[in-house]
Amino acid sequence: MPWPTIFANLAAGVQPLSLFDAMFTQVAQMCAIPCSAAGTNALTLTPIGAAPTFTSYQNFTSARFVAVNTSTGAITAQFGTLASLNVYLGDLATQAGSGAITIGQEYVLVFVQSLNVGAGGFVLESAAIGGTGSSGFAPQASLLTSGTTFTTPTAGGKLPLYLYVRMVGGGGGGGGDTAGTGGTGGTTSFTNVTNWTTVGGTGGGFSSSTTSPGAGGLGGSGGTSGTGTLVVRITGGRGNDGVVTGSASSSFDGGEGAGTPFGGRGAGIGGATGGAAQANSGSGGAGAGSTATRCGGGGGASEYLEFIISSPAASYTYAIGAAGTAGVGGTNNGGAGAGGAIEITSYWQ
Amino acid sequence: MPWPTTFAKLSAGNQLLALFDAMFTQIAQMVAVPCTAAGTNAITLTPIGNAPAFTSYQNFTAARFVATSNSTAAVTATFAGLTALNVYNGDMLTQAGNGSITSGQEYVLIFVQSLNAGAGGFVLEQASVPATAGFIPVPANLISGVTYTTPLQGGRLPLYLHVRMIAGGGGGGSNNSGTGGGAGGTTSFDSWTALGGSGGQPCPGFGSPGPGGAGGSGGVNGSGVLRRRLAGARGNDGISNAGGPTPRWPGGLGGVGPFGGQGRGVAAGNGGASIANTGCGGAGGGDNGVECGGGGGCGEYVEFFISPPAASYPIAIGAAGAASTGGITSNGAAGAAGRIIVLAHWQ
Repeated sequence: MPWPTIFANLAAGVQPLSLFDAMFTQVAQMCAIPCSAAGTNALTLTPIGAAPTFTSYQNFTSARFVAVNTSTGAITAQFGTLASLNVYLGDLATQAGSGAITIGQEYVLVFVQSLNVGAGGFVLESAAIGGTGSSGFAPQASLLTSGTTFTTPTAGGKLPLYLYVRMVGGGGGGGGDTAGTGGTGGTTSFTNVTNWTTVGGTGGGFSSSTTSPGAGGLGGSGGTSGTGTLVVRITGGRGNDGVVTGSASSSFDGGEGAGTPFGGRGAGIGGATGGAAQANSGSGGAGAGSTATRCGGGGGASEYLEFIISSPAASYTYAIGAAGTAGVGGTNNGGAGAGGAIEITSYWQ
Repeated sequence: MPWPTTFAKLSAGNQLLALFDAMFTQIAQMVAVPCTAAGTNAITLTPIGNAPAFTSYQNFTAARFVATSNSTAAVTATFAGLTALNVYNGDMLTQAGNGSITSGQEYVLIFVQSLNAGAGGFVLEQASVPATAGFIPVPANLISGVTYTTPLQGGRLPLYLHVRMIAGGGGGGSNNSGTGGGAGGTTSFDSWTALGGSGGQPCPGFGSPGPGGAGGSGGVNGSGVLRRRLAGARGNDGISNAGGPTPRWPGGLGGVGPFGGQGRGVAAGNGGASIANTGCGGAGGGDNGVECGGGGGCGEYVEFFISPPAASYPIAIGAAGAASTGGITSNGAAGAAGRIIVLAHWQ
């Protein structure tokens, strides 16, 4: 297609000057008209100085401006006194909204007739190479071992694209030597509309006779999945049984606690109190060791869980599963289990 | 650089109207000409209405359009009957291809003469503010099957895959006179492999504990970037003690890997099963005498990245090492089978 006029082809003689107007109107349809902007979410664009005004919207007519406010809601724009139209993001379906326009930054609005079911609209362009955060934000890590509210971090005023969450409940405590079952670890929860939970491990048993060692506690299982995407859920391992023997002169370890993917299981200690699990690992404590032939069982490990939450909320409630208490033995106690933990990594891209 | 004509400097008298044409031709070379587009991978651009057609490609001549199809292969474009040229991504080297252009989105093609070793080509621009900051990773937790199909978002394959995988754990050994546990199987993802743990062995007699199985090791790396490779932990030896009266001892614990899930060593009983698909070794057989079996070794663990991913990969999940049999008092437990966790990332 040609320009409206090929001047060399005109017939000799006087021609209307409006031919020039038609040509420059076409030029204006193809340039990004420099404009000043007013408004926050309802933008009004006014050509600067002698910049031309297009008298109707045509496909790909454009206006360039520097934003005077940061948008806080759904955005519309109008050029001069033409109709106010919706402004869309790059998928040409999502209306630009809060935070899509930042004060002081340069933008181009490009008219596309097919938008908004043929009613027409603007595509928001931002070709400038931005400053801080323009290439994205580094992930932020949060390790929760106490408290009840997680406040989602922001970067550049924006909530993350998604949260990646790993969590464990409490580990079971180790059993005592001749008495005292270890306590069961508590449930850890993270509430996103509904609860994501990981169930704690069961405490280890004690030796009830010279022929019955303390049994290892069961691993946690049966937690629930809330809103989001499950990556993996793994049942907790079971604690090891203790030892019994008629040999009174020996020194034996209690049963080892079971570990989670965070490690930290309690170690059996010869003839002594069982080793505690490492704090907030969700692992089980060891059973009581003994020099008198009867050892406790190790505590079970918590269930383990990984999941993803997209478009996160500003905050969430949570609970950290308590550590299973150590079984109180006749001579030696078991080791305490570990409390639970929630590890959250926030990603902006 | 001046315009073709500075009108105030023209000499007096009649001038050619073609001077105006030269001016507007220059303008057409400097703006993004609004166009309609047709074609999927061979795109034809046609100026809209009275928009001008440039008659030859010049550096930075440009055309703006809304795509009518998703590109599915190498992309070329032609403007109003001119030569079809390759379209390149921002590195000016990679030809735009499958998924580079999305139907319904707005683009600008800029001609650059130096592209394609001087033959000329187009740079694909998309300045529009993206609707999202990217796509959420898509996980896959694989415990069976033979093929991983790479997921798509927005019609695109991921930027990279993050893979964690473990082989099968070895079975625990019986307490005495029985068999050793079976070895765990190899887990593989494409040409990456992780080797299974060895089975624990039975106690050969008083004073000689049942040996724990060795952890898996020696798998090979495929195409991609290795993050870490961990040899599997060895299973614990069983206990052996000549002469102790009425003991109740558990068998040796199986080796444990990064997914946890140890099985219980059961006093004077069969080893407890480890948690499914953790790659753990099975516990050895316990004893009420003095001869306990060794625990199975844990499967090897490997973690790696693949970029850019293919549309699919062959996989295999390492089988669990079999439980031992034939023990006088008890047998070891089976190991746990392997697992592959894949996270597909688009940014």
